[in-house]
Amino acid sequence: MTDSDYRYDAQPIEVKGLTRRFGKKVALNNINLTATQGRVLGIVGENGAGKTTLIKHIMGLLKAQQGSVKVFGIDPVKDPVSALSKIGYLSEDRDIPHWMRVDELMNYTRAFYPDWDVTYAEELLKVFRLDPSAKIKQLSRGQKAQAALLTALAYRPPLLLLDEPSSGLDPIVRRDILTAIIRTIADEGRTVLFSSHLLDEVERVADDVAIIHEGKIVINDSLESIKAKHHSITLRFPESQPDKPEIEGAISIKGKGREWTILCNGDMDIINSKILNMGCEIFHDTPPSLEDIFIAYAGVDRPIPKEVKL
Amino acid sequence: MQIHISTKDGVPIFQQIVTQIKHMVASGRLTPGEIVPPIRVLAEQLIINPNTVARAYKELEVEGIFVSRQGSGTRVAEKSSPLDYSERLQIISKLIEGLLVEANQLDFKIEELIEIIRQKNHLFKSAEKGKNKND
Amino acid sequence: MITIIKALLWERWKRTRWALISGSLLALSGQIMYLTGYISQEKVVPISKTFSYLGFLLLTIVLLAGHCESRELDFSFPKRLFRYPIRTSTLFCVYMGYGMVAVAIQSLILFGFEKLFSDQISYTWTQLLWFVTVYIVMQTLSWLSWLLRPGARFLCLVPIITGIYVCFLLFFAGYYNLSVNTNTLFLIILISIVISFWGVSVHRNYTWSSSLQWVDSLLGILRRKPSKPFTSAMHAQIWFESRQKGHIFPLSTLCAIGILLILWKFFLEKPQLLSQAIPVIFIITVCTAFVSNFLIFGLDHRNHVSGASTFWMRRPVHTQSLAIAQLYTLMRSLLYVIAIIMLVTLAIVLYEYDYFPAQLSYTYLISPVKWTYEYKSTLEIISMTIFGLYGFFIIYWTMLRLGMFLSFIGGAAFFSSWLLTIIIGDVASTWVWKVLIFSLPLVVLISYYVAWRLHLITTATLLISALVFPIVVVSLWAFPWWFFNHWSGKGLPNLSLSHVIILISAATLPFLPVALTPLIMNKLRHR
Repeated sequence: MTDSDYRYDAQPIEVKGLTRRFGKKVALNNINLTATQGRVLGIVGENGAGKTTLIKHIMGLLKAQQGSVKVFGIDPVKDPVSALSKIGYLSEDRDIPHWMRVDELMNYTRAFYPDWDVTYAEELLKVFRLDPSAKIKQLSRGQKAQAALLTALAYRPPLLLLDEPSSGLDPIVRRDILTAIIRTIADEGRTVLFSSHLLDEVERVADDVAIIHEGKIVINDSLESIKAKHHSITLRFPESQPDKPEIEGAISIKGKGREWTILCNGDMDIINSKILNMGCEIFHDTPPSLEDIFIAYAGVDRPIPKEVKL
Repeated sequence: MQIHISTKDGVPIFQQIVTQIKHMVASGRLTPGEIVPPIRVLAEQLIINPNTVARAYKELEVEGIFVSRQGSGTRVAEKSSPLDYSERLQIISKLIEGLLVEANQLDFKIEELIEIIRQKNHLFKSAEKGKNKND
Repeated sequence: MITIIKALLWERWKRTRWALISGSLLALSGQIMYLTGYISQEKVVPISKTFSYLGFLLLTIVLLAGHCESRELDFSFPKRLFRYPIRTSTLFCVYMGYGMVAVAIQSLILFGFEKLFSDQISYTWTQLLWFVTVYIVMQTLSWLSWLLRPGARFLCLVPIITGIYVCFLLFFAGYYNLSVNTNTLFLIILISIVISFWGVSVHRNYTWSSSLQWVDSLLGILRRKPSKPFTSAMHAQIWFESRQKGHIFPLSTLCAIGILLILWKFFLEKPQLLSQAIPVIFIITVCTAFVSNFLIFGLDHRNHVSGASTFWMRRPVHTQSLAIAQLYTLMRSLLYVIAIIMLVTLAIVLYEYDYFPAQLSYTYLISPVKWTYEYKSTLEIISMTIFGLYGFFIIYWTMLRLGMFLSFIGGAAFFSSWLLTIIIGDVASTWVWKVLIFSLPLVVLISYYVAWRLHLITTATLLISALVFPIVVVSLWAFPWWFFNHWSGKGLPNLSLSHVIILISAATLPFLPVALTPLIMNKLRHR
């Protein structure tokens, strides 16, 4: 009936040239992304950058206007049955019907996935401390997220799609959820894609990171390489600089007077020599945190208000 | 194993694990021959990717601090480091260079520095002796 | 203080301004058309009456529902205003006052111009007051809906729609000349204002859960039995659809009928109940079908990009199965409603005749049943029953599934044809109707074909529908043949091609949901 050309060697997710417009607004602009089997891909972006839109395309809930999306070699729009049976999805708004009870939710979801593992589901229920007879609308926000995650994990899908799994959750629930996710990563061959704007988590959990800014992918590489390539350098100019100094190769510059911190990637020798040519002293050369890198790439256009006292 | 991970300073996570484990071994909190938690367990405890833990363990193995055997898991190596002199020199040189940069910033003279190192070493050794006595 | 009031008024104005403007324009439309020479003077009054009534309807609905934001169509007083440091009395006065003034202005526009242009009708202040009273009562009812559980608050729509329907009847039957005592109206206004003010103040300090917790726990005990695993994905999906939406139509029907019966009990003499109540029940259930469909659509199929609930869309099942589950649920709720109507009709019949079924006189029962019984032919009884049910079924089934479609397309067609009739004459309106009727089978054919091409309908379904369709048309044809031959005694009248097309169109109506539902689901699932 459809092109179920499921190939065992196909990548879990392959997005090529994906573009999506909503009216005039370009939500995704020529996105190329691949998720490698057995690795965790973290999608990072500010609110409205396009993370949820991208994930919805992978789920087949949005049709690609340009480009293609393939999940294990299957087009999720043409063959939703095969594609969706391999995906465990946690949506951003945890939209599970409020009138259902937890056990009803589990039984309902179970009917669709033949690989549902009852013992594992029971175990997750205990770990998350959920009462099976409780109604969803009585659950707190964190418990709702746990219930939704339970129904995504219980059938051990080869691909997990998590849209902001920790957003709005207290640290205890966040820990529970992340631990459950890490346990699934440790199982052989499972692939995870999660979107988050909590960079601390992304840095802890992701193998590969893609940063989306205004619908475009700014960086798409393994976390290792990203950290290795970027440097955060603190400089000291011989004289106070009234404006932002021009330094080639720097992605972001911030500071005041004589001391400026730049973030750059690329060949350190060239940049170092340029800096020394300008007569600056180098104080620190530290690896930047993912948060610094993200702010450097995504915060470029934003003017920082001058007289804001916090 | 109490390891603390922080993403604030930008230090790669596996590096933090390696450094802290080395400290633990050096200060005696991890004794030679002791079995270390498996990768999966440590990953769950620290809430980090198991691959990162795996990388840290591998690095520690390469540096001779950990030893892994089929079937009996990973354990802390016996005292003698299988690393040769040049490798050990490389590791220690890096640390010393960092120390010298800082000392220069903070305006310590080299003689002051050596004196402080001697004092610290003395305290370190006596703490170890005390520990061995209590064991 | 003044600034607060200004802010509240501005907010309400922003939400309701288009309704107010369109309502006023509609009230003036009759006069405008007369002034521009399109219509003669006799037509001014009925036209402006109709249009102004529609304007009033529109304004009322927007005033009642315009503040609804949340998913659950909550018509109670907007709770978000309670967090501001404003007294409840201020909030209440501003909101209720705004509504009263808006309705009064619209009525004034209508009445004012009527007085200028025609001396045939003389409106008095009583009629204006009557409009305002109706609004206040409706508003009170909607603001009292906070007494219901959040998921059930839509039920307040039922008395409101019933009330609007009753007003519709009275207005069009010319009862606006009712010499209703102004004092009665003032009394009703006073009582309603007191009740709604009490309601809003209590609402501010209460949550439903705190006040009616015991009901919730009672219901919880009743449903304490643990849930069983489902035998198949289809079963699970049908269960989900029924629990999600299946209760809306039967519940609203029960409420509507209940309210009507209570009203009728007070206003009608016994023998009249049967002849008047039963036809009205049928009409009311058609209205509830329409409203239910609107609610179902509103609750589930929101159209904006990020809003649509993906819960049912992301199951690994074919869109066809999802469509089947939805159609099945609609069918089931429809059957429940038909069962309710049958039971209520039976109850009324028994009630009217003092529990002596043997003495049932067929004078008051629906005429076709009387004719059928007189003929005493089994075949004829069976075919009458089947056609009765089929007619029933088509109306409800199509109304339920196509309510939105029919309301917009049909309403627009009705309006435009009516308008065209007035402006250009009967020819134009006939043409509009013809186009509508001729295009219906075409729409069915096209949607079937498209659904089949998209693999949303199996080839088997396509073939079976194609087979069933001529049978349906033939039987529809057989019905007038039988009817005219046996009952009227005259032969078959001249049935032209148009009549045949109309028959075919009527027959395509039940097929439309089967073809359209998978297409709609597919569109929603993969935008």
